[in-house]
Amino acid sequence: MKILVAVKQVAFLDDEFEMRDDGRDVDADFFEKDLNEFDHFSVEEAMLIKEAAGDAAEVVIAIIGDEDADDALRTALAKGADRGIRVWDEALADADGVAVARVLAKVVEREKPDMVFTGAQSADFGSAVTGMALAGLLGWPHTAVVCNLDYAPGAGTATIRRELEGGLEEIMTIRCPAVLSIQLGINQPRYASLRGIKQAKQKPVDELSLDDLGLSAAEVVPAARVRRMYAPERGKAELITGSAAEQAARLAEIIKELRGM
Amino acid sequence: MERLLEAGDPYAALGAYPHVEAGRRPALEGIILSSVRLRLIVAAAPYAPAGLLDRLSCGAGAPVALRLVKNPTTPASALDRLLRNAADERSRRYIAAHPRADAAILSRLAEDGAIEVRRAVAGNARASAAVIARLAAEDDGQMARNAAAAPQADAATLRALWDAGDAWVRAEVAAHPNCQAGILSKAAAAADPLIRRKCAANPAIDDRTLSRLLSDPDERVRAAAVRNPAISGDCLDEAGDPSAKVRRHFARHSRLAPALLARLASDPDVWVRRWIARNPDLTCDLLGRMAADPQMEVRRSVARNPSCPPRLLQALGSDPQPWVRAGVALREDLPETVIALLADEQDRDVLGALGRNPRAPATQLDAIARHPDKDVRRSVALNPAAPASALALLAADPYPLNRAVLAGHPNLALTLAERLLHDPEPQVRFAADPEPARRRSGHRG
Repeated sequence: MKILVAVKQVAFLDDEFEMRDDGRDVDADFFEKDLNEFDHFSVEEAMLIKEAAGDAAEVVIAIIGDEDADDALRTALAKGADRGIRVWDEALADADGVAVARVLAKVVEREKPDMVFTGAQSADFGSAVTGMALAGLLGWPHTAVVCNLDYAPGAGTATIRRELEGGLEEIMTIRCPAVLSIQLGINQPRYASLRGIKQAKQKPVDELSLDDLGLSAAEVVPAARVRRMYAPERGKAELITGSAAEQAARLAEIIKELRGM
Repeated sequence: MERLLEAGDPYAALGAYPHVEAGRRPALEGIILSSVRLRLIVAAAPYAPAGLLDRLSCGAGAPVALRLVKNPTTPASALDRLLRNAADERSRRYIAAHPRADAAILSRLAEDGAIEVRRAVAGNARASAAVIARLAAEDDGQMARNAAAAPQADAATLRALWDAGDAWVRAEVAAHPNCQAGILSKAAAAADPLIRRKCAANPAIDDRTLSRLLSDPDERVRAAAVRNPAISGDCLDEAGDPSAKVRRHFARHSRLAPALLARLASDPDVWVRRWIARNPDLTCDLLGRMAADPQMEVRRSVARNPSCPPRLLQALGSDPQPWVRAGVALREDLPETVIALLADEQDRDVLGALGRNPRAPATQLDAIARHPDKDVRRSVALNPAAPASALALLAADPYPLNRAVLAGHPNLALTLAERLLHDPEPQVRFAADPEPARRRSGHRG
């Protein structure tokens, strides 16, 4: 029995940052990178199933990214996953969620897992599209925002609970294999032990190219392209101080300014 | 040093930087500042050594310079260099407000063309009396308020500000310790309660005026008078105050007359009782009464009171509320019988308190260091008497913060200290002591 967990290395911004010269992204010098927060929960969910099954299940972590992404991959492996797969090609540099899903679909075809987990979304772009697109490409059932999972390795179905609008939740049964997008809070992610961190360095990681997966660069061209990224001008807030008369005078000034008087 | 250079780890090098000889620091700088990303991180880090920030200010580009002027640790020499390198208005404003900007920098910025920069100088606690006097003369309300609150403002400047300022400026003048007695008298009689309140908080006010303000019709003014550090608990009126807000401030005084103590111990307001229950002058009788208070916060205060007798600690050690028992467990003067009472505790608050208590038995500390809750385990890392076995457990704790806290433990074995230097987490390597043996022999400075 095998669970494949697709993870992502996400970027966090500094308080002060600068844009790249082409104006389409932030200068990489102003990024901190880490494993996507949502993916801590999907990895933990896979580990809980593995441990409940007496280690009969295998947990495989898949990531799309260059050598930098190894840190995020090893972070997931340190929590107890068995092995990793990293796919990279320069053609994936601007890959969107659908392009990533195409690559993951090939990984799934190769690995033949019984279940695929993704995070509900990535913390940096928040598109929440990878899991859905992957299920579509595979023709598998998909459920998003899973906040509880009851699944025994090898079972033909899983029972899940998911969050809906207005505080509602629904319980549903899903046919397996399936792609599940895991929500924050479904479990309490573990911290990797020092032993786990040490062992993660020795765990096998397959480094694959698009060629290895039978994909061409043309097949991972993003459907959308960022034209410009910028910080919009913010509305201003002003703390009005002074005596009551001064405050009233300043308020009158602001009202006049807003009304163009 | 050789190990640090060999490892090439910027965080371990940063932690070691202040402790190596000046001549060897450039080698560490090569590691710490080896990439643009690291230079940005160090420039913004308040824990970065001042000498390193000074070095970073040489030839700093705009992003690094902006982080340096916002970093409270950046030394005056670096600020001066950044200012001379044609800083923009935003950077000049940050330098003008910087806690390490010296008199020369502030004097120069007091002449700046941008009013926001001059306002920031007026609000800087290090601005000299002459600079404050010059800025106070400007016709700007915000500047006047900042100048009136400036610690170095002299009596003449305060007088001028009082004469020309609005109620907000006058309120700041009334609160200033350099304010002259004549102005304080006027402030105490002002119609605006804000001015009277600020005056009541001024430690330079005379006893007679302070007594008058203790009877002010406005409760906020009376509360400020009770809070005044110049007032003695002995002087406080025991007739009582109708406002619970004022009585809460009474209750926080350390020296109170016995009759007042007794009355406040029965106060209907729970916050008053919480404060008074911590007063070490409470009699055993009063403490006993308060230990039976229906509010658990009051009982916890009794447990934290240094005068609480052993028999009450024994009773509170069996309190149904874990928060009260945790208050007992924090005490370092616990009798053996109470420690035994807490031996089977399961509550995380109580265990967390016991974990940092040097009187807790080693076996119990070992058990707490194995607790499933990471925050409970961390308490043992804060215990100066934690046994070596518990420290060894914490050195392998999966939660990085626990290992980082452990790095500062005075009794950490050299082998464990050495291991933390190679920890996978940067924050642990930064906290790890590169020379624990030297520290123990008292050479670390």
